[in-house]
Amino acid sequence: MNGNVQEAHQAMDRLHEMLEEQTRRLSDTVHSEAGQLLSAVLLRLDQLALELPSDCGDCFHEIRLMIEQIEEQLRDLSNELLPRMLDDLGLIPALECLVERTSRRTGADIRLNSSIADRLPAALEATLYRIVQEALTNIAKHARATQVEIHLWQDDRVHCAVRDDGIGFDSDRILQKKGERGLGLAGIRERVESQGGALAIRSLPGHGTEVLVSVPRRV
Amino acid sequence: MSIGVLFADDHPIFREGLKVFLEKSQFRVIGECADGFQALKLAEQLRPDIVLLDLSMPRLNGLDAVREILQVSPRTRAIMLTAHREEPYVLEALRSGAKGYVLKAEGGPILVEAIREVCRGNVYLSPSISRSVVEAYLTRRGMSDEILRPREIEVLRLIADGHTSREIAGHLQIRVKVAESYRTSLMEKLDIHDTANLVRYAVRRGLVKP
Ligand SMILES: Nc1ncnc2c1ncn2[C@@H]1O[C@H](COP(=O)(O)OP(=O)(O)OP(=O)(O)O)[C@@H](O)[C@H]1O
Ligand SMILES: [Mg+2]
Repeated sequence: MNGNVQEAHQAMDRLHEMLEEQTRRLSDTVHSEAGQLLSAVLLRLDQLALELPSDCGDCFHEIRLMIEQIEEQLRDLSNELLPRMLDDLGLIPALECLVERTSRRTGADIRLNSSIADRLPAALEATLYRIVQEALTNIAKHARATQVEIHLWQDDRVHCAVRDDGIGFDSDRILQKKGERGLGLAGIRERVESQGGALAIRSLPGHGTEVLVSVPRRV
Repeated sequence: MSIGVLFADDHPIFREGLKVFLEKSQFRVIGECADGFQALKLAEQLRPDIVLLDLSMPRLNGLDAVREILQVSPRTRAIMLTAHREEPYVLEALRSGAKGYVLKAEGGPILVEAIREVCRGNVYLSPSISRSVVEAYLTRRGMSDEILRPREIEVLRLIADGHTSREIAGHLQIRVKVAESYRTSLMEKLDIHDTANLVRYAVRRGLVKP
């Protein structure tokens, strides 16, 4: 590879790592710090309830419910940023949860198929999670799909394919411009290429979309 | 005598609240700590009736801690006390030998009920998760069944490097029995039942050099 291009890829790779690290910290702060504090508040409240006159019951329950709601919102936010499960249990369980949330939201039938039985390097798991997350977000936003399949497998590289039966799009034309809010497909491609991988999109209006990614498995 | 409880959680403010609450609820708090590794050491020393464990903790996470605690203190019963409500966590906890799973936000009364039930020899799941877990169980067997956890991968790597269970135990500072239980569980997960094929698997996955 040309030296300058390689340098640029390395710089991009580092930038992504930094961003990911910052997101992880944010997610952790929201979940561990704020969330745990709320759990402690709830425990204290329960303790207070043991000593409270019984006519305060209704008010107490209202307060408790409100705090539970805050806790739930923080948990969702933290999951949206970066799910802890990715670290704790790995890519596949984290994807299972993402799939479940997305199919509940969109009503699409989403199948996850993986022949990867062990953990991958953390940076690779995060990248693959982001890819599937962006692909599913796109499907929810644009595709109007009823069936979605996600496949993961590995040889010396790790491969990921996300296929939908939605309205499709003119991928050659659209991929020139960058996404507006999220990483967008262009951002995903940048990230994948900076890790020495490749991204391909096969889509035709009316014939669904397939996003194909392969990334070398570096430990 | 009242029920002796040990708990591990890496958040000091939560620990403080938990301690006061447990004592007010007539339990005997016999120890507390901030990570799974300390929990293991304390459990071996104090043999609590109940150990309450957070899931994500430094050094040794709650899931691996459960398994190892049950080996060093077989009469102890473990309850996960966590903010995570996703079903893969619950299933993994039960598979590791936990007898209870309680969400932190569900708070005091539920926790008291959980401790009592688990002490009676029952399994207890928080009301708001038990339904989703049963549904998951009925509709499919999670694919994450076959996923190895970090500790299992360490053991696999050591097996593939030719170490005996005794050596692995020494290396990871765990009991020989615990090392053997990891060997059994990873063989079951991978559906590979002899060492030669385990080694081949580890090489193929890049865990060890051929
Ligand atoms: N699965 C899909 N089905 C149909 N159209 C798609 C699909 N994925 C992407 N597209 C089309 O490709 C365009 C570019 O997608 P991209 O993810 O880069 O940006 P975006 O989703 O519009 O914005 P962002 O991702 O930044 O929020 C989309 O606007 C949409 O028209
Ligand atoms: Mg998009």
